[in-house]
Amino acid sequence: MISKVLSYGLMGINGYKVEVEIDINNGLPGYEVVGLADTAIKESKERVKSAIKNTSLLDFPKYKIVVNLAPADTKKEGAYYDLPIAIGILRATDQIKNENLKDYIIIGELSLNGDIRKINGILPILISSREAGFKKVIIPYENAKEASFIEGIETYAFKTLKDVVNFLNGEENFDKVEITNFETIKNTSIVCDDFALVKGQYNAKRALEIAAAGGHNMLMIGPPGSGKTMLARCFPSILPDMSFEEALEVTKIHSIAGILDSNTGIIVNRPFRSPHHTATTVALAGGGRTAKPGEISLAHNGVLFLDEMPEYSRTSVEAMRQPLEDGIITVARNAQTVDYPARFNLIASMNPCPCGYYGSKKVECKCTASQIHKYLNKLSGPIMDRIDLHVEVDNVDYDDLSSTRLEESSSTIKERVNKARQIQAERFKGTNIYNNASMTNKMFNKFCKLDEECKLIMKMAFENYNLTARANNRILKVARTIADLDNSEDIKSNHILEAISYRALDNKYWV
Amino acid sequence: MIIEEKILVFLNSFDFLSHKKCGKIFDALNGEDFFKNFIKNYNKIEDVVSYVQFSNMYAQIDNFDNYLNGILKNGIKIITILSKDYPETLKNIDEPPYVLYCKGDISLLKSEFNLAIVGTRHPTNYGKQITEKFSTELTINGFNIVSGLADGVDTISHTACLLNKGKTIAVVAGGLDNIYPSGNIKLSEKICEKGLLISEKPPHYKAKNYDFPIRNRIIAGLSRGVLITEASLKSGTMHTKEYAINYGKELFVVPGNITSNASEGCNALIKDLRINMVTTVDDILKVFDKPQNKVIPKSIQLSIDEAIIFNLLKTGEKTFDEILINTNFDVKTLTNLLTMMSFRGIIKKLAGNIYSL
Repeated sequence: MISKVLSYGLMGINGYKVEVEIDINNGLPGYEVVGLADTAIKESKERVKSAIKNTSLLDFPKYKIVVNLAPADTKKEGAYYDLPIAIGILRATDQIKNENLKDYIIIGELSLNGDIRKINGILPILISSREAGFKKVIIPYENAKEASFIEGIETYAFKTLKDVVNFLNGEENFDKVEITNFETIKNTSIVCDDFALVKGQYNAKRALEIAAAGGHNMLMIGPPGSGKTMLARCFPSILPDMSFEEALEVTKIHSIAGILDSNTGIIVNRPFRSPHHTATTVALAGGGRTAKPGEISLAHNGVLFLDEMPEYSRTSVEAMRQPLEDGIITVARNAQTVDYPARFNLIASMNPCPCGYYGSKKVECKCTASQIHKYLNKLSGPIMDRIDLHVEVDNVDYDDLSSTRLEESSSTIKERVNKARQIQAERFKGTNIYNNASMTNKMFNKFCKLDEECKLIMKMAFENYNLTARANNRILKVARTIADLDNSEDIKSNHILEAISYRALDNKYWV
Repeated sequence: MIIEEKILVFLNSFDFLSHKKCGKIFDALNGEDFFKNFIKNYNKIEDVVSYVQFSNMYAQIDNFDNYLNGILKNGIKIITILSKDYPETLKNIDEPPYVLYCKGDISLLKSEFNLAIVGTRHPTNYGKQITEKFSTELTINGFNIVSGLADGVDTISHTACLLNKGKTIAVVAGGLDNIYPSGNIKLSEKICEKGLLISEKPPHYKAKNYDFPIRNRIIAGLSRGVLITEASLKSGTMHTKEYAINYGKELFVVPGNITSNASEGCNALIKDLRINMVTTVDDILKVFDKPQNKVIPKSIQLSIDEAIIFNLLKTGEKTFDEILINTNFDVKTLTNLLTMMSFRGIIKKLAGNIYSL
């Protein structure tokens, strides 16, 4: 007898429908899976068999069983299909009497005793199946939290195979998963790192505020132990709150990568990713056999922090050039080409020289000028070109640490950032640009008009600093953001002056 | 070029011939027929060179004219110890170089107002500042700055001199075609145009580590005085100091912070040798009985806010945070003030977010 169960598979961040067909015939007892299944699916034989056998009142048929996963030409991966296969077998042997099985999308992994295990990527699957017009989904219980944020689709979460069978047979009633309101959990999130805890570093803090307000990428230069990492860790706390759509985007990616916390189910805080500098290009950009999202995609809508940037391999840093520009990365593997979103704020840190102490007041630097040049040249021009702000971070003195000067808390800074973002949202309405950092060249003329005084200052800057034409654009963008923070329509001289001061590496007294 | 000079250039082109050996061979074989009879004369110099070296030299004789023309074509002037352009002051030093390869204005070699500025390759912010200050003011007062084109103090003194339209002499340890450090190649080209670049080694020669201290004797020899702006105890600058003392040159030392390693050498010199300690250019000029060409300080107008920062920085260099805590400006205002002041040349921003006057 033949039965058909609907399930879903994942390609990149989008799901696609998979029909699980079961044919049970007379013949030597056996179990065959066709339809480009990977090893995990082929091994489902033992899991499905044991799960059915170990569930009371259910029987595993002693016939020839053929499982087909359609579409047959797409490679299917993962353990999503244990449950649909089991349900299909039970339906084919008439142990499930429900005629309307095709109303349900069924996904889940089985354990030998008949429990249903959680799977990765439930959120993108639910969103895709909702768009495809499906109304009911059966998922593992552990994924319920994650699914509870999706409205417009009935989700049923089960702990065991027995429950699913009872539910489908109408023998027992189960409630669908209740919708959780995003706003309510948003406010319960706790941010640990706060700028109020960082003493001193006023210059860097202000630069971070500007970076947050305009979406600028930033490079911090300072000796070891000066607090670059700590500053970066506080950075997410001043970023504007994520909207529900943004949160879903982030959660989707994290769900696919399998790093989602099943207790919260959704990511509320902007992600902060700090891959170690030994990370490979694939780990950063995404890829591998299954074209998994990389760190830059996991940092989508959040912060990618590269500590000691010159230590990263050149190829992996260069791989970020396209995503830094387009906010998207295309990962191509033999079986599939996948687009992952990767719009992140790059915060990088580095030492000024190989020994780390160039310019430090406390420890003497032992590097020669050419060594320092070589070290700085490890960052390629195109990458430096995408970094708007560079600031120097000096060692904090003990006096600073123990000073009683009240430090601004993250929430006050965040308010200002939010206001500046609103101004930008209005400015770029109707375009696909969200912040000053991604302004195109055409927009410069429109939004970054300079009066005579500002032009004079720019001229002085060119005389005093080793500025290039592209640095000119960076300065204008940053000045625009500073003006926004100041709630000023025009860019004024003091905005330009401040913007210029965040070009530390262009300063001629450097090296 | 007379035949004796050619012989000197020929001998100088071999790395394996030390200064002493060159002299011995020159004395033994000098004559009109040096090149013609070279092969017959091994017995006269067999205690100086091995036979392999000798045949090496012989093999190069046919090539020599090409070699010489190649050098001259590159715009390199060759001055030998026999030439009238050779500065008398150099003849008084140990092992005066037989040949000088020069690029640029060779009249500088005989100038009376050559003054060497030497120091560490890793100057502190303080070292950089005073080197720039002294080089600038000495240039304005008519001195030619002599130095070694190394990193650090040398580079700063050359650059500051050129900036003020002065003449500078760079004595390099390697050949003129092998400028070291490579980061200074551009600077060396500028010096060729506006000053003088010299070496005692043939152009193709790559400097070995022992060549650097030896070259310092030429720096000392060419100059009337040697100014050490910043030097640690083990610095190569200490060699220059030895030479300067031995050749009877004036030695000037700028004192440094007693806690700073980078100034240990300078401070030790002042303490041990009771050498001319200088704190202003005037101190140097007095020694040479030269009237001071006053450097007129630019008159600057400061706003009240700027004056607060100016007065604070008078007490020494400060980091951004220190200025902020001591002045109570808010971050935005302070950033603006500091950027504007550094544009106007009132203050300087140094590496490490440090500001100084």
